[in-house]
Amino acid sequence: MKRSKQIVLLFSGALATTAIPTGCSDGEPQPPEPSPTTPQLSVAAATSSDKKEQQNNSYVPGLGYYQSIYHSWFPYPFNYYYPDWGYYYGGNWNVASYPGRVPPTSVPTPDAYRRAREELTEGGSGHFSRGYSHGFFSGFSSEGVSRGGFGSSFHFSGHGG
Amino acid sequence: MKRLVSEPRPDWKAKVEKVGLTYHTHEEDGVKKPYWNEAACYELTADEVDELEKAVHDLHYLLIDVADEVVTKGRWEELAISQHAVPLIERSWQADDFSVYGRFDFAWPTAGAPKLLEYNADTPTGLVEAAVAQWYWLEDLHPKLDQFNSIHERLIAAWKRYASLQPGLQVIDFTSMPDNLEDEQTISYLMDTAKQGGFETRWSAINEIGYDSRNHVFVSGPRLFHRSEPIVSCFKLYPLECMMREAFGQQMVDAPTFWIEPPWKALLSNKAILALAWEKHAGHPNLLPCYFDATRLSGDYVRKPKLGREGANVQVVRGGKILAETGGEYGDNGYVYQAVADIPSFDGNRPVLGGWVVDHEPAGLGIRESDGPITDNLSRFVPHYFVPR
Repeated sequence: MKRSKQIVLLFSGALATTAIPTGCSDGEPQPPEPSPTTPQLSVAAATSSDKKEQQNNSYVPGLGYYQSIYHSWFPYPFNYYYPDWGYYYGGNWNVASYPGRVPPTSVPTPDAYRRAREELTEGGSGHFSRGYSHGFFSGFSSEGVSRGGFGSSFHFSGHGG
Repeated sequence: MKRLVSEPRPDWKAKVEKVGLTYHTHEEDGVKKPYWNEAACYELTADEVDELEKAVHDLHYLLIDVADEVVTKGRWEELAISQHAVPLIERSWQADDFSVYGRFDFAWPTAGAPKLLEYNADTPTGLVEAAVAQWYWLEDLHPKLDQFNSIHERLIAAWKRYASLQPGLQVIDFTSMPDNLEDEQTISYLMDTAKQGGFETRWSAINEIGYDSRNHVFVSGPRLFHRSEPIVSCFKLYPLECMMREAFGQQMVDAPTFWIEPPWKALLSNKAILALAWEKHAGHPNLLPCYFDATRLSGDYVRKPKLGREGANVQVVRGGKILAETGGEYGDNGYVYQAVADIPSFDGNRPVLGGWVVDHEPAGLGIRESDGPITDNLSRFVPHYFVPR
């Protein structure tokens, strides 16, 4: 048997009506419904005033990846590797992966909670840098971001690729 | 291989639309023509499928071997790859960056082996129809027969493998041009498979992607509720060679973003690889003679732009005369000249067989047929089955 045993489409309804908006400036792109098998840490949970434990490398839209040993959120996963840049943890790129033991969960610092709430409820205003050390990703300053650098030279005209 | 007349399902439009094939009809000069054509189908034997599967496997690794020579010997100019893109491709090649898919296009002469026309290794489309629409067609009409098509489950498995390569990564960004129905459906489908592979997904229009020059990082498109976030890993349905020559081309070298397809795929999607493959493996049963110089071919040939797509700017020359030609905007970077393949005609319908690769393994087949000798963006997709042993 060379054919797929079963084909289930999570977004079958969305596929029929196009899951992707035709632009993203007018509103939040509507991603497909979350899969029940991939629970995601909610924004509310992440910013709750309760001192709730967060899992290492759990992801929160708008905040990034939680790094339990630093008790805060960062733009890249813990120990993430990219050639020439190295391993990412604690807000820095390092030549070697993190050497020590990493707790599976931890409680964010009060400062991380405060900044998370600011970012998610008030829009935030900070930035992160390649070498920063304060340990929290709070978005990008629009001053440093340019757009439109891709997409100028090609349009698909039909089938075939 | 046979082409058979087949009775279309009465509600075929609704059925294919339901699974994402909303672009089943195209319009040319105000006339609507079917793109999805289930008034016919192709029947293959199990031996034919095995032969095709082997050809896909062998050629994928053969071309990777040829690409290795491009990198080690620095044959960049022959592929019209600009110098600023070389470090990006080299880094991606050395790291063996994850690749999710590709599609070989074959002609299969009445006698002999399937012959490679080209490898759409970077942005192959025709995916929803090959992976999903024809699978449901088979389930409805010929459930006891088989089909060369495990694309869907292989895609999900590929994303799962990617997750194992990138521990901790939970989100993959997806990007494509907005306002193109086929692109939107293709990338929606790929997002679906990534989701089933365990990732969260997020889409940005490619022209909305930003670059943070202070932090040397690409960022997602603007969001209503969130600020832009770093793009850690991004599937792009947009040609690598275009990205590399556009305004953010240099930034691709400087930023820690994993692109899918990876930059090394620019070596395989380039039609110059066909000439280099023939140079190294002349006589291979699945290759057609191909050169950078038309005079090397004694007979009829097809001129193809090195960086062409969708059958654009292709010229078919027979007996020294141009038999057919398509327009387009490619060719500035040079051409390759490939011997004419004998594409059989089934009552005037000429099939090209698209052999899919997912995560380096043969995964399925999609057949498109044309009226003329060039398979362009107005070809028709026709479902297939094969008879099990």
